[in-house]
Amino acid sequence: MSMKRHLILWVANRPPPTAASFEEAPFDQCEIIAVQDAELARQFLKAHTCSVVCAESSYGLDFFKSVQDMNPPPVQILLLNSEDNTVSDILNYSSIFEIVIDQNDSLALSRSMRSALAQADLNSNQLSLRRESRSQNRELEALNISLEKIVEDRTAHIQVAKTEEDQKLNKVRSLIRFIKEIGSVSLFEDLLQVLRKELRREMRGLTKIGDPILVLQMQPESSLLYSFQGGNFVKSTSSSLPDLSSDLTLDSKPIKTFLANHFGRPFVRTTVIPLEIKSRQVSSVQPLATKAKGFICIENANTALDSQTLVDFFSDCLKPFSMAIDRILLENEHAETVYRWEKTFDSLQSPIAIIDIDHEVLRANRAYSERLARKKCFDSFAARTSPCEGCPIELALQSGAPQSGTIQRAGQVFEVQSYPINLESGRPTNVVNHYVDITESRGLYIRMLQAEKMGALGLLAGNIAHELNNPLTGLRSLAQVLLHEVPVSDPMHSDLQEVERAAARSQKIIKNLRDFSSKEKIDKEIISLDEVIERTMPMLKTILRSHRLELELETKQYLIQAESQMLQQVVFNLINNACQAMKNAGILRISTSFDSKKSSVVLRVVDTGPGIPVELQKKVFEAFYTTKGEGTGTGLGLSLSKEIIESHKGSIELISSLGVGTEFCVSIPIYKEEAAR
Amino acid sequence: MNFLIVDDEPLVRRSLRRALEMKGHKVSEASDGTSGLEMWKQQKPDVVFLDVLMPGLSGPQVLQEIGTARGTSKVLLISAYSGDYNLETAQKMGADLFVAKPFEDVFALVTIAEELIQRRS
Repeated sequence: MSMKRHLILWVANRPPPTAASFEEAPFDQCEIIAVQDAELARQFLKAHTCSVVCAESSYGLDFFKSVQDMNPPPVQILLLNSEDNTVSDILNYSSIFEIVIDQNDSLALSRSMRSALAQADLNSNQLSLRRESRSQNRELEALNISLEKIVEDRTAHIQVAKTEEDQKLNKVRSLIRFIKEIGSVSLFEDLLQVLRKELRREMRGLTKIGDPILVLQMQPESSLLYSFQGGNFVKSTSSSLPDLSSDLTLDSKPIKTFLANHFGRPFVRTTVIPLEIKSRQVSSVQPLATKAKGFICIENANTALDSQTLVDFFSDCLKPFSMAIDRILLENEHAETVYRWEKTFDSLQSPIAIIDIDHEVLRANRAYSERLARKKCFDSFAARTSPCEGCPIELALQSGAPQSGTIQRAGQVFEVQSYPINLESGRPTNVVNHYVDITESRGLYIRMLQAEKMGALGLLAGNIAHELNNPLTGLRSLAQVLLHEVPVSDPMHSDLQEVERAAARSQKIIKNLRDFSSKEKIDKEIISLDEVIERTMPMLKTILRSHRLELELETKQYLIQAESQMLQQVVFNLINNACQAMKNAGILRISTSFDSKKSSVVLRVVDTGPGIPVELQKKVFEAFYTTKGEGTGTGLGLSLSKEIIESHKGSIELISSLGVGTEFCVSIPIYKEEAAR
Repeated sequence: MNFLIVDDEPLVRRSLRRALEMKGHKVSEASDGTSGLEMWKQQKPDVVFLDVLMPGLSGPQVLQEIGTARGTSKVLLISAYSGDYNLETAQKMGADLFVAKPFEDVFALVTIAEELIQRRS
């Protein structure tokens, strides 16, 4: 039996219609169930889905209401069989689709049922539509939910990416901070401390990580190790590093052996990070030293992952870290250089100081003074309250060129050279002052000048003595003659006695004067002119300082017979004159040669001074002629020199041209043994 | 006796002449070497007082020039520069005695000269 499309419940005391009209469509597809009892009807309705319920009004409002509450509610047809109030109540309070007034009118009944079935179909359609739309809604809802989930997932993904970015940024930030930190340290200890701290912070996840060890090979023959021993920084030296160039792995065996030997304990897992050091090795043996080598060695307890983490960490900061090491090496070297310069200056025996325009000492060496607390140079050097007389600082700063001068300090004489420090622009404001103690050579010079004066005085005394001796001799003798002629009783006798005594006394005075002037006469010695000159040069050190000296002595093998001290006096006198003639720095040429024609040695003293005018050339050998300022020269130097040279049977000449210079030429015959016999 | 004084200092000549004349000697004077040499040749004096440093010829030069014309004359070389000569060098040059100026006593000098002559005779 095919499934009936509709169930029609017939609730009435009389049976449902069986008329022909109910045989046709749509009833051929319907099943009519007839029930008389209301309760049975209700149970049926609960168990089956009925499209249409046809019930008599006598079953009452409650029944129709209960039908109406079915889900889905069947279409109701009311069969009128009473005329009481219930009908109107039913009509008012329940949903009645059709009313059939006459149950026997099968036509009306079939018409009503047909339309009720149509309505049921409609209802059913609506219901299924509603159901469908509801399920579609549910699908949509599910779709919506999954969409939301996707969005959520995406959002979460973005969140993760953002966190990763943040982490990267943080990493960069911490790298920058680390680089800044290592950029500001100037000791290996600080550098290693910073690295240790950084490693501990960055490698928190690692099971076990040791303190970093820095190995530097600055010299081919030894290595430096910077490490922490029991938490304390230790610097130590070891023999040379093993050659690692060929075998440099992260867990290098040679390095581990090297470390184990040095620290006296086993090194199990050690990550070795080679540094990129640019500094060169310091080598006394090889002038072209190779690059210094450096490694960071870190012990880490176990897995290969740790090593990789360390390598990753160093891959970011290797360059800055290597640069920091280079910088510290450079700074150390710089400090070393400064130290060496200081030592160099301190080891100089002459005082040296850098002094500024206000006479303040900026730097000075040890020899300069022990009173460096005094800022002004004249105070610290000479214990004065004003600049030293003769100090060339001012002149050097004004002219921008080196100047020299002579200052005195408590019985010492210093020659001061002021070298202005010329910087790129502007006038110099600092000078380097170099002090040379010339007390001794100055003393020699002054003694020689004194000797010249004494020599001149002797010459003078000798001349005067000779000139006075003759008339005095006559005077005294005449007085003696007259004393014989005048009687003793004559008052003139005693007068003549006075004259005679006075003459005698005068003679005595002159004799003393002559004895004095001839006191310095020394026995002649056989000597070379060269040696005489060499003996004289030390006394001229002071005055020669301002000029360039060209000395060519070539007559060492030719001997002369000379009073060497007198000849020294001549040499001194000629050189001193030449130097004084050159107001500016000039060239002094001193040469000796042998003149075979005259068989004499010849000394030439040539200066680049202003020259001597022709009319004065003859006068220079005259006694008491001088062009020097008062107190500087006696005017006897050259005349005395001439006298001394002539007493050695020699000659002295001068050749001079204005603006070119002056040459004094001394010629002395060499000593011949035959002549002496 | 005849004396010749060769000296450029007038006071020396004068005092010596007075002292010699007091003793009764004959005296001639020359004020330089050249005229001294002439007078020596002409007068052939017994004693010559000869100064070393003079204008023209010096004492030693005069001694050299006179040569054999000197005859029997005794020569006393007189010098103010005692350092340059002594008795030995003076005698080498042909002088008989060397006297350094200044002399203490002019009469002593006269006596020495007289003794020189006496020794000769």
